[in-house]
Amino acid sequence: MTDVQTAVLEAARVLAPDVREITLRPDAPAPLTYQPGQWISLRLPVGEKPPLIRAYSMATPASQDGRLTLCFDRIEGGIGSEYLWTAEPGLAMEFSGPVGNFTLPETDSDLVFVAQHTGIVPFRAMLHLLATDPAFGRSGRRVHLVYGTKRQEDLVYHEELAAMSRRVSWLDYHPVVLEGAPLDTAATGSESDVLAAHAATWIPFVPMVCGVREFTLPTRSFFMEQLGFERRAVKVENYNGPAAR
Amino acid sequence: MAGTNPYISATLVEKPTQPYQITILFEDEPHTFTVDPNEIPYDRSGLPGSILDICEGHHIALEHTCGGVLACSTCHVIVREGLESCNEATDDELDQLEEAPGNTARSRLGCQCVPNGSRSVVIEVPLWNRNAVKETPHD
Repeated sequence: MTDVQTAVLEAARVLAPDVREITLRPDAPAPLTYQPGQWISLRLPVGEKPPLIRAYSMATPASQDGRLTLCFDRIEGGIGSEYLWTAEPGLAMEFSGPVGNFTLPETDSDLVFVAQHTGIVPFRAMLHLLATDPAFGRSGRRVHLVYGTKRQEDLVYHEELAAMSRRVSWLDYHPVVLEGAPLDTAATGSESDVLAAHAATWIPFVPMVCGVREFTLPTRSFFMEQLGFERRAVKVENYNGPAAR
Repeated sequence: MAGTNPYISATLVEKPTQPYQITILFEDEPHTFTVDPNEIPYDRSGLPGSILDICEGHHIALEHTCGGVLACSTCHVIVREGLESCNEATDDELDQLEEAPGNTARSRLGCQCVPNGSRSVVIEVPLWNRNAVKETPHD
């Protein structure tokens, strides 16, 4: 069985009307090592047949203090997310991992990150790692980040990402919101609008897409059909499973 | 959610209409039970009527680290009998299976493999996964 570890919920904060960030402090003496983009599997003591297994990406790179920062959206009626939404600091939790292959690719090309809603989480961890890598800063490579939500207030980590894009020359940040008048930092529209307008000019690059399947699959199709990428050349991380029909 | 989605993403599944037998091979002995279509879905893991769903509904805790959303390969199983009665694997499932140790031509992800009930099915939990499977307490 995948090794089950224990942790304590140390802190929590609300990032958006339906998005919460939690910080876990694992009980293990040695810090957990992982690559940005990987995730852990929480074993939640809820549901008809607990544990309810739910996977969450880390929002920060691995740190020496071993703390794990996770971010999730509240799903109405979702047993797991409701439990986590109301969880208080001090709560003991179980998890396994880290696991996952949605990590920074070995490439000399630029990167295009496309995120919707909490799909920004693994990219945030990757960006924080790249921002501390002097070699990446000197490489001349760029990261184009397209990040969309429904409303301006749903853009989590937006101020931080905007500040990073001003601080480092390699980050090209494209926040976009579907509804509402745009502020000076975000445009109105969709991720696909941004890609249609700019992606062809960014070639060559490695595309990475994260979000719910209803978003990631058509985005992957865009890269394949409009820009000629092979299906497997588009790295995709889905936050939900396929529906049956 | 932002963006306009003109696509529909769904896995084509033929759900069973009649009871059928399924056998799970692990712990050196077969665990056989009858799947009742009226009880599907048994749980909230994987596609309704999937091997993972059935296992969870029959107190067999098949590992599924990602929660059964096709984001890992820990629920890897080998369909020893009845593979022809199961839905076809999608490209995304095959991608994940490539990450699984001991991938075979009869390998499937438990969370995505849905038998249609036209015949009995025999499922082997790979040797390296057997210690990940346990029988959970019954009510």
